[in-house]
Amino acid sequence: MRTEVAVVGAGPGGMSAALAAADAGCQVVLIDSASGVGGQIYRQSQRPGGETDPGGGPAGGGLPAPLRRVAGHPGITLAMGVSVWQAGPAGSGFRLHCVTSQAGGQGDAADVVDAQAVVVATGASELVVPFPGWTLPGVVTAGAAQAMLKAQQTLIGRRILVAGTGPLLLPVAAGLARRGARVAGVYEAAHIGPMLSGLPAIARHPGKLAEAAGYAAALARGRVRTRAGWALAECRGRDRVEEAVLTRVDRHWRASGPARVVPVDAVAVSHGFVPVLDLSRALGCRDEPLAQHPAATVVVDARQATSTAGVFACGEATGVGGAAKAELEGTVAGAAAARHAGRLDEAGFRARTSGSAARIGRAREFAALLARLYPLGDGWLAGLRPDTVVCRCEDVAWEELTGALAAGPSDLRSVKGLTRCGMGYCQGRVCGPVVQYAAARLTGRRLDAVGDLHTRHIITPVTLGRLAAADTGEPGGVPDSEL
Amino acid sequence: MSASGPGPTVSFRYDGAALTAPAGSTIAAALIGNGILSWRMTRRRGEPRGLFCGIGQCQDCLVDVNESPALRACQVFVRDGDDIAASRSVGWRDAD
Amino acid sequence: MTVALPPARGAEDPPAAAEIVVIGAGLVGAACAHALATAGRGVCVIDRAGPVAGTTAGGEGNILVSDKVPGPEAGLALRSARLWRELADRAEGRFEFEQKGGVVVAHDDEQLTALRALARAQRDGGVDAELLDGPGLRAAEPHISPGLPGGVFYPQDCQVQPMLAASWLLAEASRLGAHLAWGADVLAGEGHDRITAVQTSRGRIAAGAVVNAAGPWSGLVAERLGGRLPIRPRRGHILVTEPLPPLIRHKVYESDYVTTVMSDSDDAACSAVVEGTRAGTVLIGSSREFAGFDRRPSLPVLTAMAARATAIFPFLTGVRVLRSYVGFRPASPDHLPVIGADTTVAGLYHASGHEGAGIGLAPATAELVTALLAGSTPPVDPAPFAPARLAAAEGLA
Repeated sequence: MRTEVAVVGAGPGGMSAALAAADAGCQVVLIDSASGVGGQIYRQSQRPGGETDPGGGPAGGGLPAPLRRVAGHPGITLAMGVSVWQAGPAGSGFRLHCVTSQAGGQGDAADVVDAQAVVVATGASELVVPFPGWTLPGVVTAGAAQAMLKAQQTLIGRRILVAGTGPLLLPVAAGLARRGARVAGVYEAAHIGPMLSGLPAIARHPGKLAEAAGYAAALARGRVRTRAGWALAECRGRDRVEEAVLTRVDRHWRASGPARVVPVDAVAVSHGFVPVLDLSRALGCRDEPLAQHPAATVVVDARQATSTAGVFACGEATGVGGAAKAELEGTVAGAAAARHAGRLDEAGFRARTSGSAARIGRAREFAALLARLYPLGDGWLAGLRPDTVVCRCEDVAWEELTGALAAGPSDLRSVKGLTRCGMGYCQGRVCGPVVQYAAARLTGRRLDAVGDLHTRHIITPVTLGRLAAADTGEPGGVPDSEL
Repeated sequence: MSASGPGPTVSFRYDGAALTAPAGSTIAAALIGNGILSWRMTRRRGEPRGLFCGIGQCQDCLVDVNESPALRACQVFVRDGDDIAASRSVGWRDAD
Repeated sequence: MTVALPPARGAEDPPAAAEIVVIGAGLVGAACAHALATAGRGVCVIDRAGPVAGTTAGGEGNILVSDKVPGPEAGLALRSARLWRELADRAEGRFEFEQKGGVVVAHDDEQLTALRALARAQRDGGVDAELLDGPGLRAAEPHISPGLPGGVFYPQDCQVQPMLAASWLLAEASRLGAHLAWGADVLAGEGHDRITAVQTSRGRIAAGAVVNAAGPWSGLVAERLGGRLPIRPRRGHILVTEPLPPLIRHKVYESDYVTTVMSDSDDAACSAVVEGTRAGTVLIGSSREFAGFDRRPSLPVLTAMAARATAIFPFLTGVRVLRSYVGFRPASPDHLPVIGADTTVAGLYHASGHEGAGIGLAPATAELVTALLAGSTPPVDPAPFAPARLAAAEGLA
């Protein structure tokens, strides 16, 4: 399949980019591995007749009106249930190697998408730091609880604890409570109360504050206990989680008080987000590591252009900051891609993106604020037991990781080779940031000095049969006119 | 625990037992809705796993479906007549 | 899997002086350090990064006699395989040593005839080889393609987990008194006709002798020390599948593997190599090309490897690849290892150029190095491996 602009990721950023490029006259292919558009925050119901449950999206329900145009736009071809497993330059543009992702892809996905420009809108993955008992069935990420609710109208349990850190905890808990779950408490590790009063910057985002206050009020009405400065220390149970152990923590997440044990049958936990970088790296885009967080962000200029000409990035990939930032950046990225494809001249580009710069600046400011409000503490390292699993896929224990780190200057590639961390099915998506963080802390090195596990030459598992048949030839000279 | 109302259902088998779930369910939701929280044993420790990230990234929720081994239960929709079995965390399903 | 690792000695400053400095903490360096320490020599192992940070980490862990044409390397390989078995006994399972045997397959009758002739010649050199016809091949490997006419089984081929093996050797060497210093890059050597010290990024080490086991970087290291070693990186790719039950019993490869190794072409040459691991994954190789130190895998190469592997094991068509990576083999101009004294700098010894056979040949290499440094009778004829033969070939003697 040949197109002008390929957008990978159909969350708010990708949808906005696709619309901006298509509105400028481009042929656009919008790709996502999920079965429908929306990404995480605007996740749609997958059940026929199932209502698209609000579950916490800021718009209060479904897709925001401006994004609904994606479905019928004549310039946008939707490729849902499709994963990109490899990408690189081809001819004067790029080739994306695709495979059906199992998420109900209909028919045969095109094997390759050749595009003049690419917009990377691949979002972020959830960060969960390990703790004793985190592998018990019933312990899931906050995103999983939300996805189950919105897409499948299914509750993960009857008595659900929500814990961790970050702005996702409140909306997830509120969504669960609205659906009739008994939320056994919301425990936020950050000392968010004292911090809010100390940050005048929060006053510049009254809408966000009001939103958070709305969730808190909804939970208070439902008599759901919400606490700040408390961390989930352990989960216990035989074949599934049966109780959660919480402790007061200081600013570094070190236990500073007695534990409270709460009976539960499910736990939704989240410690933040990490931008997904495998596609951007495959396309040669430069990214910059964060100082305090085991993550990196794709470097973009004022037009959302990456260091690779013709590749643009928007949304969480350039910095975790939520839907508003993603939509603003997506609009600029889509217009810039259209400009690269020759559909817009400079005047046309400026007309479509005027006023975005200031708004994007404010959105990025809010993203930076979030990072300061919800820092990652290191106290959880002290809570790990020798046999606590740190790599879920390969069942690698904490004592094996510390043993490997004791052997020398621990770049993550060597640590991975010695312990098998990151070698399993998920290829380091879950354990990578954790191992990076632990390696840096335990050896006294900077977070950006130990390497990371974000580079994946095979982005998503693909069969040897599909790999053997991959089209590595030159892109055809004549564009396809069919969908 | 499924919060949806009445509607079309699909029938499938898990580990030999006959179960049903609302149409449009993923295998993960179908199993969780039937009170089943784990459907995989890890290779090294033999510990039970089920849903974790819910969005197709962590690969914890692998399950065997018909002839296909180790598919992500949170991504695959359950279909009428599916024969679903616990995964042993390998990409191979022995013919019984 | 218990990982035997040295204590955090590598973080300490290197000593001001050492009897012998070994450069490179990959498998060859680790084996040399272990052999020298066992012989009572004072050893300091240095590496610019840390243990197994280079080529060893990308190796499949092969200990092969099957892929050696009759000649000096085959003799070295036989001896080395025996030494590996002794080490494995001492290590009591710590590096997953397995004598699984190798199977070489032919795609057609012409290849089979050539393969059988090679096998007979190898037998004359002491290599065990069992000829297999079609049914014999399928008895050895039930999932192999039914279209293959036959092959040869080599029972002496073994496999290890190379990172664990190197780590164990370093731990044992350390236990016997060897110093380990990581993050120490070689900057220069002191002494003109004879090496007297090594200057590293972590300090100066006075040395009586130096062993250069820096793999594909050993040419660079030799130059910094005032010597000369024409070693180039020869890039290879590996595909790693999802975990599987043990469906593939041996290391299985195509009979044109040997010609690929011996070729001098700069273009990528692929030859299928397929084997299972204890971890359950199947490793698929191989490719050879001169591409500097470029770490980005080439999709056309991966595609070719996948096609060749599925031709030998059709069931692999439905098996998923989880990752791919590249490694750099240290290649010498005549494809033989380079083991022995540098031609211009006394006290500088090289142990490199193993080009994809380093893991298998490490113990015998270490044994030879130890003998040369002690001035005792070498266990094998050192002449074919001597650096001097390369200098002669280049007209630099």
